[in-house]
Amino acid sequence: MPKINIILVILLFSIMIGITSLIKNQTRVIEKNILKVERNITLIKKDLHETELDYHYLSSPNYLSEKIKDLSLIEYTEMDFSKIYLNFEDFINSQKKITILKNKNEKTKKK
Amino acid sequence: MKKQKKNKNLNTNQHSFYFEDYLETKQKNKRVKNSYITQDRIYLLFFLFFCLITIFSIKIILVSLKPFEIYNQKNTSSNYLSLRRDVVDRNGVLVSRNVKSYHAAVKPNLIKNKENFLIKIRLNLPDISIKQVEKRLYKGKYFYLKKRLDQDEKEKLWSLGEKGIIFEPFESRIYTHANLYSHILGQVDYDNYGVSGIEKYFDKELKDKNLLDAPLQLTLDTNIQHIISDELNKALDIFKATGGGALLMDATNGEIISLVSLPNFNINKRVNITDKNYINKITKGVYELGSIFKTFTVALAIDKNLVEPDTVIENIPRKIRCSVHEISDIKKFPKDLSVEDILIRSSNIGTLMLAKKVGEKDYKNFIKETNLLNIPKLEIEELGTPLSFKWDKCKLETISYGHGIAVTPLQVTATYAALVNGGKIIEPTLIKKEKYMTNKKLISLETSNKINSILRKVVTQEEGTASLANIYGYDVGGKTGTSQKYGNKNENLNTFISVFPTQRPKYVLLVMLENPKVAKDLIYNYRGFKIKGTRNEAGWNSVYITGKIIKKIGPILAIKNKEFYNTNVAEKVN
Repeated sequence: MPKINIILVILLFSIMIGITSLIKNQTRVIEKNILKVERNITLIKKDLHETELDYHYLSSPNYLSEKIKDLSLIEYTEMDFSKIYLNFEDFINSQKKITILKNKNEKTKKK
Repeated sequence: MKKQKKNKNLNTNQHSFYFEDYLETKQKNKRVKNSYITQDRIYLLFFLFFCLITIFSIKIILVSLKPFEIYNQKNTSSNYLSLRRDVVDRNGVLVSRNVKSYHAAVKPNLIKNKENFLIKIRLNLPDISIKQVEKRLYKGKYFYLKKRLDQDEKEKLWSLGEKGIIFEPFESRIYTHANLYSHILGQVDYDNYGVSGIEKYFDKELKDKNLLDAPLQLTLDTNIQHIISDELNKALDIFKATGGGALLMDATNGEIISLVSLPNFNINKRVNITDKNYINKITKGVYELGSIFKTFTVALAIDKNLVEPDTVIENIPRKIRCSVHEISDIKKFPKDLSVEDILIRSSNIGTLMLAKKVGEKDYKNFIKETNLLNIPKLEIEELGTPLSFKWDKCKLETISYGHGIAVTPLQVTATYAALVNGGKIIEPTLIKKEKYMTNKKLISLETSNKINSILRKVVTQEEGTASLANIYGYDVGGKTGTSQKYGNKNENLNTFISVFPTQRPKYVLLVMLENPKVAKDLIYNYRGFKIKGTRNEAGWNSVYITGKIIKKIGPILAIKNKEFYNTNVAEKVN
């Protein structure tokens, strides 16, 4: 009987150790995942930290009023509709027309 | 086993005492003894194994119970911990924050081609003295190439791909609004210690690790600060003034909503400023603020029940001689003036006569209660000390109309707030609090109401000196002050202190301009007439600018303050 008791205690003990190591291994995996997530959070926080700073700088009244001033100072140059080309071919064709017209004008002048 | 141990000396095979074989018994005894030794060894081994298992299991349990943070901290090297708290304005707008920055240092022994390196530095950082870099480079010791690199500089140096350039990380303080709060926020040094302004005053609190996530909230409003700063900058340009200042305060609790002092500077750049013109004119500057003091004299005379606003002071002389001084008015006023007329027209001699009625003792008490002659209290380091003086022969007379007493504009605004808010003395503050201290009363509520109605008349009446601040919808009242600078009679200071809405004043706004000139090109809209600028008193510059400011900040204040909105903003019926 005493021998059986000892064996039982040892068995129980080793089973417990086995279970603990199993749990420990699993928690280690979970901890690793948590660590990954925490790292991501830190990076996102860092980004947020910098983005917030940018936002507050770019939306500061001084910066905005300077931008408004800059935009209102732009002097738009007028452009004829004929000078706006929808594609490259369009542009080439119009240039050809111009050269033909020029040649014609030169010929008439010579005459 | 126990039994065996007990009968250790007995032979179990012995049947009879007389036939005992001694030789056999001896051998048997030996065998038994040997078996006992092996048994003991097994027990010892078992005990050792048991101890080992126990130790391992205890270790496993301890490891399992280890707190997660400790494990975590070791591995999260990228974790960013700021050394200083953020500072935000009253609306949560970020005002200053710590960011990771870099110093560029050089390890000369890692640079192979030193000439090539110098050329690259010359091309990318032309501001750096190449001769000095060359000297240090050939000395062979580690040195700093440039401290506090900006983003462009860092990228340029990074792109050089030099092993010898070391980027040393450190935390630097960034001020998102650069010049806007230069006189309030102050600066920090390279080691993150506050060296001026709020940064110095709240150095301990800003570095408190337990509060790092909670920003320090100021009472200032960035939008209003910008508007006032912008208008004041324009005023410096229009009136060719050398400097200026403005202070907007909540008259009921002392919250400073805006504090502007011009010229200002960019606090993101580390420059040693020695020019006195760059001081904080509102808190550090000490000035004779002139006729603004007349309001105090009139309020005191009314509060002491010596006069009423409509009491007529008869036979006011044109000039009064006091010791060696000759006191007179700028304009000719009627001989008999009511008390409110004295303030509306800003009569020096009328005010002087009221002060005489009050008496030196009561006037002294008034100044003592308002702390006008002590260093003001505010949460920044840059505070001016009012000039002390002796109450000699003509002091009461001159002080009554604001001459011979030099104080900070901050103190005058706080005293003004007490006069118009129902008489409660307030403490100016830059920090948002849950509860504000309202100390004892300076004057009674009745006197305060009477003063408010007189101040409104200064703006609305034809004889008043502040018509240009009569902005529709905001019931502006106030008092002008045109004075010469203390110690320099060639320089003048034009001030206007306004309160609005005068029915129940919520805000006090002080605007002052240093050495303004006549704005000949400016066309004023004066009581419906378009007139060109010909005069140089406060009514033609400081008041004009105050009007412009109130027109712009009024709607913002009205939106943010329901109470103000409900009583002062007209609703469109159609």
